[in-house]
Amino acid sequence: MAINETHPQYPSFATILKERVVEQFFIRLDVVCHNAEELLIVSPVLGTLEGTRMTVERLRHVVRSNKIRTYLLTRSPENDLTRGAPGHRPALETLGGVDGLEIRYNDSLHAKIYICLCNDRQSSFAVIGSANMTRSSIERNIEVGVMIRYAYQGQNLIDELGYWVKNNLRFQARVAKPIARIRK
Amino acid sequence: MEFREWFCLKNRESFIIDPKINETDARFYFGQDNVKQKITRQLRHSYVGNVPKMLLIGQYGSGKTQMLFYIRHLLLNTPPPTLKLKPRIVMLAIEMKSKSNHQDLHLQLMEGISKGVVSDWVGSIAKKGLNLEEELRKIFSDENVVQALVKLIVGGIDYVAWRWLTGQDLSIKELEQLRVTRNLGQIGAGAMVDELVGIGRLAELLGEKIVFLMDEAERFLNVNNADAENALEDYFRDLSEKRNASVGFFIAATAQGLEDAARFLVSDAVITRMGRQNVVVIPPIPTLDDVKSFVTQMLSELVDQEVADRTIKENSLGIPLASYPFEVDSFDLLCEYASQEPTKAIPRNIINAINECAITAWDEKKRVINSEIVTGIAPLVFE
Repeated sequence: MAINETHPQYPSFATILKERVVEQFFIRLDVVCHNAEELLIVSPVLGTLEGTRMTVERLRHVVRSNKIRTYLLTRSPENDLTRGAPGHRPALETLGGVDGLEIRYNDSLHAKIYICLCNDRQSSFAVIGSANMTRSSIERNIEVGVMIRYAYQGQNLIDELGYWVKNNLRFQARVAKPIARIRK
Repeated sequence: MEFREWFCLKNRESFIIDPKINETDARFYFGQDNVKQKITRQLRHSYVGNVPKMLLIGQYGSGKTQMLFYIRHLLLNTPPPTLKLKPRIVMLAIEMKSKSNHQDLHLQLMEGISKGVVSDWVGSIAKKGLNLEEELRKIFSDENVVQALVKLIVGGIDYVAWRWLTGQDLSIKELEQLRVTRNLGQIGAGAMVDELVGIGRLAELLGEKIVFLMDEAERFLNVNNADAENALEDYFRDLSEKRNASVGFFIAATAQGLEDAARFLVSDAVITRMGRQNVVVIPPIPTLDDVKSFVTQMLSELVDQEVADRTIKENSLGIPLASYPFEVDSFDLLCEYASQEPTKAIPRNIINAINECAITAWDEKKRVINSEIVTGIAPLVFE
């Protein structure tokens, strides 16, 4: 059975996204943001997402106003890949001022993972796939992703992915902006 | 140096405790000694001619899932002497939608036991050379169940039989094939519970005791159809009956109190059968001393005490082993933050705060967690 077909007894916990992959993640985030506790974004390249439903400026507002602890893993702005991405540095600058948002760099990063963990676990969801957090990935590139809901086997997938990002992948990336301002 | 070595962690990569990820974390249940004692006492008592049937209520992050894993750990590794049979533990996260009903619950419980296991049990009776149908009739009063179980070990029709046993609706042709007169549950939840309890008796004959650990039971609140709610109440009422002692269960639901749980889970009809003493409300960690006790117990288990002691001495860290990797002041500060707002003083938050403080110290190449780090992290978690 294809993953995007609904099982007669088990409503689908995973859906294939073929269009505007990252935007679909953020639209869902917008819906549950009042209930979101943690946001994990793993994207080698970033953009300002101007012209899409969730600009980075708006994401900053959502994260701040809802006090969502956010972990962003990406490549450094000096990396060959990100130097050619005009929105990468501006996106980092926009998000860099947010307390409760951590930025880490790893220039070997290729994974693209987006996870939203909610206070009531059943609203949690994740997207994994090929799409960077850029406008071109939303509007022009051919991308694919899988949206996973926190139901059935999706629960274990999200738990394990979240644990891996927070307690393994982060340790392989240097901190560029700590999650909290630490007084020296 | 890796994070785990930096903080002398014992066979683990972080301070996060999550038995879903690290199976061995199931052995931990820190602090909340009252809750732990109450549950282990009930566990011990409930096996005297009976089986545990318990409801755990607590807010999100209060440690319900950890408690379920801890119960599983206890049952598998140090079962109460009163438990004479091998526990067959079935752990599942409940799924309920607005239109779900008792059939969906029954399907999940049966799928949790699994077709393979029930087939093996039926097969074991058949292998004893006894008349299978006659033996099953001694356990099951419903002839339809007997017919379906017999077909469960017959190739070609076994999946149809399993679908019937799990309460799925079959076509008339399939019902005829199985030689049953109706779909299971067509006349109510009682027939499904009877079948489940009978399967529990079958397991007992073969030396096993079925115990369900049902997590995420707050999803019962999704059900919004009165008939479905009544049928689910019937299901739980019957399953909670003392005479139905072949199947035990622990249900964990996120709720502030009984009044916030699904009506049919906490109705008088269900709770009086389950026994009021078997309804446990897990409160947030109540006082500063309790938080300190939780953190101390946790650190002493997760940190390799011998290696940490050596690290403290070799690096002249000037902190006691009991608070390592926290300075004494920062340890107190963290505990104060954690106990400021009662609803936030929950294990998940405390564990997250400790881990985040440690990651921040590691980023800054600090061997100990000082008050500045705690002041930066704790408000993000506890405020």
